[in-house]
Amino acid sequence: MTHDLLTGTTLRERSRRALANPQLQRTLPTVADALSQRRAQAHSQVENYEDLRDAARWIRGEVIANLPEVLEQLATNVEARGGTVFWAATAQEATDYIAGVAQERGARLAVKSKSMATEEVGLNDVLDAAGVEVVETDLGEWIIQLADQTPSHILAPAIHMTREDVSELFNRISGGDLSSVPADLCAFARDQLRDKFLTADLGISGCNFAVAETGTLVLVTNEGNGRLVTSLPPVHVAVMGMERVVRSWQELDVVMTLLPRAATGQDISVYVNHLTGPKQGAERDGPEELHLVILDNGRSELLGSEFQEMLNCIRCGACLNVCPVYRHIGGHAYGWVYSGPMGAVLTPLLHRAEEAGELSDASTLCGACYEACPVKIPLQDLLLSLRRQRAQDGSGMLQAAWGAWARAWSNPAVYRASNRVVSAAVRLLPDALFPRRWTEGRTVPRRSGGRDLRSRLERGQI
Amino acid sequence: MDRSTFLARVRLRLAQTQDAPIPHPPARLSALPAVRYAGGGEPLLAQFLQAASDHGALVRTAHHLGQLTETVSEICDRHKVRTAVVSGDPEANLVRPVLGARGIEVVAAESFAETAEADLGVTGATHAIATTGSVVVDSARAGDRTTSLLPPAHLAVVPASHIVPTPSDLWGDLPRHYPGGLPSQVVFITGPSKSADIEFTLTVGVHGPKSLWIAVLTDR
Repeated sequence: MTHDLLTGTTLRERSRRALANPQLQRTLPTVADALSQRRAQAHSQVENYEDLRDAARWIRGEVIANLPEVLEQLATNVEARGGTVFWAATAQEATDYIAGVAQERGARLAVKSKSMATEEVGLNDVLDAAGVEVVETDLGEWIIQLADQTPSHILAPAIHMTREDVSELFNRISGGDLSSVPADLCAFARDQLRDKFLTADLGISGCNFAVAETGTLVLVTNEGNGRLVTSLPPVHVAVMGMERVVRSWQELDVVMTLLPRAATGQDISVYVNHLTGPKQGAERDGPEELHLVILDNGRSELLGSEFQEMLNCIRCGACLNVCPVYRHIGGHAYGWVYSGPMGAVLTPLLHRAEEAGELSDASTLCGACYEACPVKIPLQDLLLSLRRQRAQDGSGMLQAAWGAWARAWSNPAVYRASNRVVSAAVRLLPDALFPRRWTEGRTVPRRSGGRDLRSRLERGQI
Repeated sequence: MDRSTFLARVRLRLAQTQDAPIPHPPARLSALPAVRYAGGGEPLLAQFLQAASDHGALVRTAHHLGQLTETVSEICDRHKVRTAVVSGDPEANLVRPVLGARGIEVVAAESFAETAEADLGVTGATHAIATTGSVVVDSARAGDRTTSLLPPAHLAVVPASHIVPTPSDLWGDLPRHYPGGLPSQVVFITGPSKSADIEFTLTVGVHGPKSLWIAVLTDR
């Protein structure tokens, strides 16, 4: 789950692999279209959706601009309700702390509901090394954990696999003869994972939002695994990116109205779980301990920079489904936890690998992501800024090449000469030397006389 | 890292914001807009019944105990219920004698495994939401988190007077609805457990209940 595909590969290599996967190519556009259409329908159920997007942008921006104050209030209220707050500056601080909690309780088995923050810090590997078995419980996440793969979509992690693939995988662990009917496969998963829930020592979840004024964590799921993870094991650890907080319930109302609509086109998720502290005196169940890990891990570097607004992201995935690049290459090609336009911005900012930089190229800058974003993050502007930064920070080769081109073409004689060379080259060069694939479907006009715009203008021809 | 060091780092970074203004400063809002839901002209009960049914719940109304008995019988027949767990909600307690009369054993579960083995979980609901067809169960009033979660079928009994118009009526100020302090868990439940993780095919009952029944107690 915590596989890092970035290091040692290029975007082009990963994209080629994705384009050669027939199942991914078949299902990805279908799923993306279905989710986008549902999103559009869900918008219409709310009359002032656009006002709410503006409001959400303001809410998120204001919280981020006052983050220390809001986080302090959140932590105070979580602690007042008997929870423990841990401040993790880095991925390692977060994973060390959680491994410590596991060790203290003598935990052997942890159940987990889908959380991008835990994938970001590589928690599963760390717990595994500490002798704690970690079981992903979201159906899609469990499937890819069994298959030792990574998510291809943040909401539908296993859409690159067919039902036959899943059935084969399940039969491998059961030794049985399961059909490939999704209902049967789900029933099998339910049975297998039930046992894990009933015996787990540790429940690990993410956090969709935290409400500072009461110290409440809000967690949405459709399957119910989020409820099981936070109700059955004696210890619940929630890992939250430090930006996932709102001040008040009034603010929560706005962002929670937008989140399920933007994510899956639902008007509300099946289970919206509001958790305030561990179990209380008279309650018969619920975790005895609640730990909230507030994670920085590079996020504070974005503050005060032109990328600060990226911290407004609520991880809905709407930008993925509408992105013409994502719709072809899918999640794996982005190489890390985050994909689509938000991943193309976030990964270079949070991931230290040099290879991450080129992700800003995985965009046409068409702006569909901004149109879909429920909190109106100007993703295409941020992508452009990343490209600019990279060009400036680079070896200077790219800048030198564009500079030379600009100088050459500002001279009419050189411009004319270059045109003649290219026209001739297209006609004369053998296929092997000319990138034909690039010009397939396009024709270079034959030039008679090779008159450029400026000289025609000077002659009064136009 | 301790709280003060962590927050000091964040403060330090934010202090640079003045030098590098954010390119898209959000316009200052004087007040947050209220969420305006489309429709809503119909009576709350009718809206709720429609929405809950649209989200896959099986909905019945009961004007008196006799009708509640009929609903319970229907559920027991449909799911071949032999054992049930019942939460501490007052509405759920109404169902105890009805189950007893049908010879259904009400189990006082002492472990999650026992709760999970029950054929039916019965709870009340502190609220219900008309536009989404949701029922709201809280851990303090119910006394637990799992009666509504572990058995394969869940029956929520909700008085019609508990129906609020929209989710915003709760989200906008949830603590106001719990004057004694927020319970450790408040869950909005809308329809049965769902997944579309295999080939994007909708399947119910992955982890939570496969069937959600809602009995609305209406005024006589």
